[in-house]
Amino acid sequence: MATANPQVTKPYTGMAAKEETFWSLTWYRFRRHKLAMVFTAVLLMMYAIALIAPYIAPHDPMAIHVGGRFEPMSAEFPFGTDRLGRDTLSRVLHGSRISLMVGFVAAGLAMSLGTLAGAVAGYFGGVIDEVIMRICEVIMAIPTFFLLLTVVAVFERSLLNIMLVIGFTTWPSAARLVRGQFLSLREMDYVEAARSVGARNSRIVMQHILPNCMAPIIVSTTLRIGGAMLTEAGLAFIGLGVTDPPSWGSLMEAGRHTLRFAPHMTYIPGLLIFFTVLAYNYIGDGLRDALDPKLK
Amino acid sequence: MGRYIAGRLLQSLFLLVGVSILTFTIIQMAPGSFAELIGEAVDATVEDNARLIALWGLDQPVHIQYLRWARNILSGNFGYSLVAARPVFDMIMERMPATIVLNLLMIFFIYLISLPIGIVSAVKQYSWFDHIMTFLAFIGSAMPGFFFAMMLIYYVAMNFALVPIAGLATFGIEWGQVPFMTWLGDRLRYLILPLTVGIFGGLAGLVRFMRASMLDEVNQDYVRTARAKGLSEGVVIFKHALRNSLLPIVTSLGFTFSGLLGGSIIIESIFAWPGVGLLALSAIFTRDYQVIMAFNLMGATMLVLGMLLADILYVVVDPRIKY
Repeated sequence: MATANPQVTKPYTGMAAKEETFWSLTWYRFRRHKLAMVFTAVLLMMYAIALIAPYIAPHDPMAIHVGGRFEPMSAEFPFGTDRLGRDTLSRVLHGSRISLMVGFVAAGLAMSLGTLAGAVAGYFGGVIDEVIMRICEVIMAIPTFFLLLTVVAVFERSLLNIMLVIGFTTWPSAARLVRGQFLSLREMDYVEAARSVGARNSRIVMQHILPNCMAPIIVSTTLRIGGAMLTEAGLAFIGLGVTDPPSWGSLMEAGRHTLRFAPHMTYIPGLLIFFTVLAYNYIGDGLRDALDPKLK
Repeated sequence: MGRYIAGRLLQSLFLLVGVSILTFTIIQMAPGSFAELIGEAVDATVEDNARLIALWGLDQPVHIQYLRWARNILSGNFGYSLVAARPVFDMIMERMPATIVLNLLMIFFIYLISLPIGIVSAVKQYSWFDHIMTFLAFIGSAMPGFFFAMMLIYYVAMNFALVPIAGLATFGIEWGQVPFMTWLGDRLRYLILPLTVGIFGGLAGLVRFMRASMLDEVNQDYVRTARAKGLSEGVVIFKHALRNSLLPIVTSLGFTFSGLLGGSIIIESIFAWPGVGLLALSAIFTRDYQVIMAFNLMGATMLVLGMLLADILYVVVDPRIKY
């Protein structure tokens, strides 16, 4: 949590010359959250590494080094090798592309679906609202993780399917968040004013209401990315993840069987998951403070 | 109040119907039928397969199958597991005690530990204690439960052989056959790891929740008034602020209890804890549809009841709310 700073209301010395937009003020406040800044840098670095992973990985993640099973850490294999003699560092590097993408895409999907459904429900109200909210309740009434398991077990297990499934099972809570915002914002005077000058519904929603609920949407998306990563890792750990190439969760699942004599197989991907989720949580926290100073 | 509860019960009923239809639909979308799986396993002929399909009514239209299933549920028949060849209800009931013991203890300790931490964090906002606890809460919410479990297994159970890694009890130590303390000690030793992982996973969220709720109250005018009229700090915090800040916590209990069944699937699978979650997990891998359906329905029922309980608790603890 950022500390409450009594100096927030002071004039921004040295910035007065620039035009103060909403985003420049947000960036100004975000920069004061030190941990969030540190973790933003860490995260950017991780994505950069994931992007160039195929070029910096010392070995083919699938290549089997015969006679080199469970090699300890060495110059040739910095993180050792797994039970088939595959280079762990290369597998972790390639896995980063999957793990980092899963969270991003799944959370983005959940948030887009949720925003669409929530906006429609909250803006129009009435029967539409009732129907959408009942659907949300039904999905939320099933234990989330078990709903995921059921769907993943039933459909073909692929990276795309896992991202889709996480997105489709977690959108209702996003819809409720956005709906709540819309319910209160649509009663605002400026919305009334827009309507009175003959603005169409689409214009009111897109130009007037939606920009005003971007703050909670952005914060929630950031926090959801970490959550989706944890969910994917949980699925993979139970044996329902992508293995070709493996995500970090799948690597942990593979490592758990050889925990006794090769613990690094488990804790390297585990620590990576942990730090990535931690980074997203801190960034979400920083964004919350920056986007909505009233909330503190 | 009575009318309100009746209305809510009716609403819950619709919710459960929705859940069962959704689960049924997902399962129907699965490629390959169970009869085919069995047929492959026992080298059944085409005629055998056809006979099985007719026998289980799998040749009927989907909505007929659903209605038949629903009618069975309403008459208390949860179906028959085609994998274990036993009534689903019996299978779930024999797994229930293990899951309930684990989850009840988990919930108890989570509340016992996190409420005081959250309260102190809020009262001493921005103190070193608050900062450390906030930091730990961030760590706790980012740590995958199974990763924590693996580290515990490696460092505590494997390296030092302090506690057993998996299972419910040592073979041969049964209720009534050994002295009570031996029995209890054995059960507790097996509980330690799953319980630790479960508590750890739940702490962060509740600490933050309690802290936020308490912060809301200590900044209220009535707290300032209480201080202004000279009440001691203890009275202000415990008699005034705390009681109000507990309102949302008490209502959250309803939701917490709904997690009694489905909340510990991963923990049960890591520690081979023979509970309902493990049963449901294996049902998913073997496509044991009757068990999956029953588990989803029970999970949803718990949630619906939990939500109802939360609403009722709200009225009970907060006299300002009336229906």
